[in-house]
Parts: sequence; structure tokens; C-alpha cells
Amino acid sequence: MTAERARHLLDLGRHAEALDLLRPVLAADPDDVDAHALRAVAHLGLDQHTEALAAADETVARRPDVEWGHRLRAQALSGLRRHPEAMSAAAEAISVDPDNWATHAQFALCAAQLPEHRRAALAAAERAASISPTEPDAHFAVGYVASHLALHELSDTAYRRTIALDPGHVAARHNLAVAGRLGVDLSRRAHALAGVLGDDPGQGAARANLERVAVAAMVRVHLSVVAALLVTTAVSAAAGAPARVAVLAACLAGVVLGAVLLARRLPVGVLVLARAQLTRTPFVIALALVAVLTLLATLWVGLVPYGHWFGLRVLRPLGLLNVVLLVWSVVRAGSAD
Amino acid sequence: MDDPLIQGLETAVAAQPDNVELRLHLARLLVDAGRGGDAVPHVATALQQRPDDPAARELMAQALGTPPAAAGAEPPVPPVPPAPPAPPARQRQREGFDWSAAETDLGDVVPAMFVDGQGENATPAFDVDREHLTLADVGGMREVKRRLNAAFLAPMRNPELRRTYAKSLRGGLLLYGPPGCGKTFVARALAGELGAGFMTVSLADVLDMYIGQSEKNVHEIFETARTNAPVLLFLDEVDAIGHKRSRTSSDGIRNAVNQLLLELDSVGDDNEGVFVLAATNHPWDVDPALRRPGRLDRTLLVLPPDAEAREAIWTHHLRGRPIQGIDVRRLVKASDGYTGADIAHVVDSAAELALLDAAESGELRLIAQADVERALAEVRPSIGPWFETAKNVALFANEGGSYDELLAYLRKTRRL
Repeated sequence: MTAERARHLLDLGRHAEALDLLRPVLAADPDDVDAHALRAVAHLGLDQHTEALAAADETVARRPDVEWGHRLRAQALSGLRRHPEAMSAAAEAISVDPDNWATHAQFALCAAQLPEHRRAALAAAERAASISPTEPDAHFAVGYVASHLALHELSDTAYRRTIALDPGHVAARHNLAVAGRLGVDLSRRAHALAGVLGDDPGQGAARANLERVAVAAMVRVHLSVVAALLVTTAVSAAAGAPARVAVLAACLAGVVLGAVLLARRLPVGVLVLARAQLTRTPFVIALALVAVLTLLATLWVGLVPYGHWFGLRVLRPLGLLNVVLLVWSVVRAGSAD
Repeated sequence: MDDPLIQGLETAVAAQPDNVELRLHLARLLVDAGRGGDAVPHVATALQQRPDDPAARELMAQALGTPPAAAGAEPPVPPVPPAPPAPPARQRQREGFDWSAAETDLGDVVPAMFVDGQGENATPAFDVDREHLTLADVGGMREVKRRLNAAFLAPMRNPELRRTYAKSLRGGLLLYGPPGCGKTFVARALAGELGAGFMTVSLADVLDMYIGQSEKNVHEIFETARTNAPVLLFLDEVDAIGHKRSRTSSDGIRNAVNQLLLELDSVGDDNEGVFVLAATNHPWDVDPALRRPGRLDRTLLVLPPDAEAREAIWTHHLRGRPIQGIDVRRLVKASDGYTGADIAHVVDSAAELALLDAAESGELRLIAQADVERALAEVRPSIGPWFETAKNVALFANEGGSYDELLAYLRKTRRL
């Protein structure tokens, strides 16, 4: 009865409460295999991978012939980034229950972390999907491994199949949203991620990716300001005052129009995230400062006679600042991945 | 006059009702003392726990066979109803003991262990409390009170106005907000204000019920409410009872949600005096169908206590403790963003600090302002994680403006 209640709590995502329920159960009967397994699930839900591994070990020690314990070990070891051991545990699960799609899917998810085993991972994921073609998580495993192998078409298809089978599959929707390069279709990505976050507000990954979308949007605006400076400087070197001012006005109009159009295509929440980052993310603060400097330089070049001399002088330091920003953004992207 | 040993054993059995040996021993003494009638309930209780115990069966036979004691010397034996028709002789011989006769004999003595719930006197499975709290007991929270008044109290107290404005009493109210901010307290106060009974259904109750017959049991909750009307039915942690069906793999939960929808619909149609109030920390996990018109269609955000409420909470928790020189206003100012539960924790921690100091110094001292401020510095507001998730909801799940109130609060407090 108590184990059943704990199972329900886990189903509701109330991992800590489930643990509270399981403690006395295990104190009364330390050999309760189900309770150990459920404890492992609860710890996994709380990202307590060391404790999850301990609970999974207890499960396996008592029932090595049940695949669940091995699978829980694999999940805990993956969480601890001990991927080779995780893969071994998942392989053990397959040997215990080779006709169970979940064991193959678990193996695929573990092996996908190791580049040299990704082909085997894909084969395992496809095996899982063939054993249980109506199981969304089996197709999700295919999508996940395929994305690691940069097989974007296969990955997209698998994720779409997952969503077709389970429209509420948040992980598949998220991964499909972030598939491909960030800058390709900012608006599509933003709306897809906003949908994921709307359905599951606790999705930290979706939130982080939306913040990246917000930064990417700001980088675009910044680049348009840099382009305006370059164009204004080039024109002011060759043309008189009226043409210079006209070009400046056109460039500024282009910058504003581009920013407005971009903002209108994004969910309102992304703009709020962008504004919040303007006050607390060092990279975004630096980006904004450089953009403002670039804008001031553009105005100077366009409005002041012989401003192009100034423009040419500031291009080098501004260029350097932009290179620094570029490197910074690459480093940020690398650490986020 | 009772035998002192029997008296002593009766006391011991009352203290340890599950001790079968003790109970049988008492029964044996009673039989030996010629008080078979008194022994019967004890042996019957023992047999409920050990139906195959031959000694208990034999003792039952003896107890039933013992003639009643002389009138006046012992309490009267309950009247024996007419004997049922005797079973065939062969069967009686085989069983050795006439159980049906015994059951008939025991009918008036031992209460039934289980009832089928169909009887008129079936005991409700859920308690209905009478609340003495009213909204006047809730410190601060003016906006919450104003909204409760508009949504519940005013239409209920003014039938004429209700008719004039064609205001329906259908539907329930969903209180949501960070944990520890007094949703349950407000619900109790509302029940008191309505003069209605208060019936709370929590996650633990519902999870117990999921085993096999969830729909039936959800129905039973509402039936109990209808029987006890006027009653305020408070569904605590409704995100668990009415979890999004698309996000659960449990048939039990899905069936419970379906039944809950059915019951909420019928509350509006068939029942006078059943007011449904629900509370959750995670409104985004509640099945959308539960929030449609006529169900839990109105939402009310219960926020961390305002200054007035905090003052009441500080005063409440400090009252009855050995304190000196506490500046409650200063604490109120310093505890902006703390929930009622946080403040209770701070006061406990301050008491701990004073206690530890007294234990170390060997000198008793009162809880001082410095203790409370030190505890306040150590205990951080617990609502941070909730607001992180709430931000995502307000920004990306505010379809139809259902979280406008939350969005406005986040903007006002610069949490966005």
C-alpha cells in the first residue's frame, strides 16, 4: 500500500514526498526490492545521482534477475557522468530482459554519450522502436541518438513520431525545437520553446534555451548597428552632407525596423527575458555597451563633417571589441552545451 | 463486587486492545467467575484476530454455555433474540460449534467490524469540522479578502443582488500561490465566515483511495459533503487530486480526475450548500478541464503575507514564548518576502539560539531581538524556487490572462 502511494507520488513528480514515505518502509523491511527501486527513482527525480546509485545497487543486489534495477543503475551512472559503467549496466539490463524495449532504449541513451559507441546506440534505439513501435520513448531514443550523430533528418522524424504518439512529450518537443543551428529560424525556435515552457514551466533547459534565443536576438540587433556604422562610414567618405545624412537616416531606420520586426516575431516573454538579461548577464551588458558605442559612432560619422575620419579611427577598437564579444559568445555557447 | 484481578485485567485489556493472550486470559477468568456473557465480547474480539485458535473457540463455547449469573449480582446480560432455524443435524455435528447461533447471540454485543456503506447510519469516511475562524482572524491580505467577498460571500449573502445581477453560484474557486502563505488558513476562515462545515480532502486521503476504486471514493467525498451541507469542501493540493491527465501514466489518477469533473459539474446542478474551494502551489499542473467554467473557474492568487499580515504572524508566533524587547515592526520590515511558514521557522530558530545560549552559559535568558534578527539572517525566504517557475508560467503560459494577477505581482516586485 505504502509502496503504491509512493509510486503515485513519483508519478506526480513529488519525489521528496515519495522518499519520506519510503524511508519507514525500508526501515521495517530492508529487503523490500520495490521500495529500493522506487527510492532510486525518487533520487533520480531529485538529481541525487549518488543516492540513486546506492538505491539501485541495493535493488540489483537483491534481484539481479530483474532488469529494472540495472536500468536504474544505468540512469544513476549516466547522471554521474560515468558513461562507460552506465553503458555496462544498461547492457546487463538487456541481457536480463532482451525483449523489453526499455532496456534497449536505456542502452542507446547511455551509449550516445560516448562518440565511439554512437552507431551501436543507434542500433539499440532502433531495436527498441521495433520491439515497441507505439512507445513514444523508444522513438525519442532514436531521435536523441540520431541528433548526437548529426543525422538531423532521422532525428527530426523520430522526434515528430514521438510527439505524434504523445503530444505532451515535453523532452521531444524541446529537442525538436533546438535541433539545427540557433540562428536559422529564431522565431520558430522561440515559439516552440515557449510552448514547451508553457506546458511544463519547470523545464530548466527550455528556459535556458529561450534565454539563448533572447541573446541571439540582441546579437542580431547589435550586428545591424555595426553594419549601419560601416555603411555610414563608407558613404560619408565618398559623398556630401545631404547624402551622408540620408544614408545615416536610412541605416538607423533599417536598424529600428529590423529590431521591431524581430521583436514582433518573438513571443513577448522572450523580450522580457532579454530585458532582464540586460541588467544581470555580463555578456549582454557588454554587448549593449558596445552597441551603444557603435550607435554613437555611427551618429557622429553621419552628422559631423569629415566624420568618416572619426569613423575609420573608431572602426579598429570597435572591431576589436566585437571580436572579443564573438569569442566570448563562442565560449558561452560551449559552456552552455 | 468485581474481582480485583479481573478489574486489573480489564484495565490492561483496555490499554492493549490488540493483546489477544491477555484478552483470552481475562475471558477465561470471566467464564470461571460465571460471567460468560461478559466474556463473550472478549472471546469474539480474540476470534476476529485468531479465527482458528482452538482454545478461543472452546472458550467461546464455554462462555455461551455458561448460565447467566443471578440477577442483581452482575450486570444484566443483553437479551437473546429468537434462535434462527437450526441447521441440519449433520452439518452441526461436522462443525462442532454452531457459528450462526453464536453470531446471532453476538449480534447485540459486538459491533460489526465492517459496514457496506449502504445503511442509513453509515459513518462518513471524512470528517466535517465546524470552523470558528472567520476572515477577521486573517491578518492583512486585504486583496484576498476582497476577492473572496466578491466571488463567494457577497453573492451568497445577498440573494436579491445575486438575482439582479444574474450571478450564478456555480463553480468553485482555486487558491494558488507559493507554499506556506496561508491558503488553508484562508479556506478555514471562509468556512467559518459562511457558517458552513469544513471538509478537507488532502493528497494523503486521495492517494489512499487510488487503490482500485478511486472513482467510487471521490464520489464518496462529494456524497459526504452533500449529506453534511452546508459545507465548504476544500480540495487541498488539487494538482495531485486533479493532475493533468496528459501527464500521468496512472489509470487511478486519470479515473479520479474524470470523477472529480463529474462531481464538480453535479455540485452546481443538484446540490445546495456545497461550496468547493481548492488550493494548489502548482496551478499549472492542474488538469485544464478542471478550470473550465462551472468548475474551478475562478482563481485567486494568495501571495506572501503583506506587512499587516506579517505583523499578525510575528505576534502570533512570538506569543507564549519568553521574549523581551522585541521590535515587531522592525521584524515586519526585515521579513518582506517571507511566508508565514518561514516566519514560524525563524521564531523557532531564534528560540533555539536562546536555548543553546542558556544551556551553554547555565543562565536562563529570554529571547531577544538579536536572536530573532540572527535567525532571520540565517533563514532565507523559501519562495524563490516557486517564483522561478511562476515566472515561466506568467511569461509563457498566460493564455486567456489566467495568470494576469501573478504577472502584475511579478512586475510590481521587479521579479521579472
